[in-house]
Amino acid sequence: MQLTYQDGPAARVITVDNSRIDAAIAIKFKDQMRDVTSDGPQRVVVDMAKVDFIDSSGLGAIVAAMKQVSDGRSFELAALSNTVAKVFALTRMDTVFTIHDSVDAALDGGLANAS
Amino acid sequence: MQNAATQHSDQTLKLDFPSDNLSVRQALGKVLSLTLSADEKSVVEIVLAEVLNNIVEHAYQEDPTGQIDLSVEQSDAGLRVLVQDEGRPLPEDLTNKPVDYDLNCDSSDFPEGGFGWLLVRELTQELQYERRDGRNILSFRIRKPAEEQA
Repeated sequence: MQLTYQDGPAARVITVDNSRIDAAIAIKFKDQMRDVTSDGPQRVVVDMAKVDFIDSSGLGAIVAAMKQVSDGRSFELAALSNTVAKVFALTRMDTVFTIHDSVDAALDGGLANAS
Repeated sequence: MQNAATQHSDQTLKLDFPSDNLSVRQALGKVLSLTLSADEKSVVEIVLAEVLNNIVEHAYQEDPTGQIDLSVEQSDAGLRVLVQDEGRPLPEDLTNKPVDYDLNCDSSDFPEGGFGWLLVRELTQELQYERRDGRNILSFRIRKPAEEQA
C-alpha cells in the first residue's frame, strides 16, 4: 500500500501506487488516507490512474476515506479506469463523488493553478 | 499445490482450489486468461472477485482449507458460471433482496459496505442460489456486452 502526495497552494494531489484496492489492502488504504488527509490544502484530489481494479471492500475504503476528511474540505477523485468507473456507476457512488477525467482536468492545468 | 485438477475442455474451464487468497487469485487469473473482450473481463473480474471473496470471508470464515469448485462455460451468449463450496450457508434472500441505500443523506452517513452483492446482482443474469447436501451452489450468467447493446 503506497500513497504519496504533492501540495500546491489550494490542492493536495494524492497518488495511489497500487494497481488494486481490494479486501487485502482496504483497511491499510483507509488508515494511510487518514494520515495523508489530516492536514494540508483545502482540496484533496486522489489520482487513481494506476488503479486497475477495486472490489466492494476497496469502494467502502474510498467512501470511508472521504468521510474522514473534515468538513469544508473536498475529497475528489481523478483518472478512474474503466473497471473502477463501472464499480462507481453500478453502486451510484459516482453521484456522490466529484470525479475528474484526469488530475490535470481537476487542477485546471497544473497544481500551481488550482484554485 | 493450488488449483489441482485443472482441465480445459472445449469451452468449459473447471477449477477446484482451496479457499486461500493466493489460490483464489490464481483461479481468477485463469478465468481472465480466457478469450474475453475487455468489457467482459472487467465484469467477470468484478463479479468473481466478490463471489470468491465472499466464500473465503463468510462461507469459510477465512479458513484456508475449504474447497471451492468453479466452472465457467463459454458460449455465444456469454459465460455460464457455477460456484460451489462446503462452507456456511448464505443468508436467506441475499441473492434476490434488493439492496437499496439512500444517498440523499449527509456524507457522514454514506454506506461503506453492502456493495458486493449489489455488484453481483447488477452484473449477472439468472442468479440462483441453492443449499444442497451441505453445499452452497451459486450459478449465474454473464451476458456478452455486445448483446446488451443490441
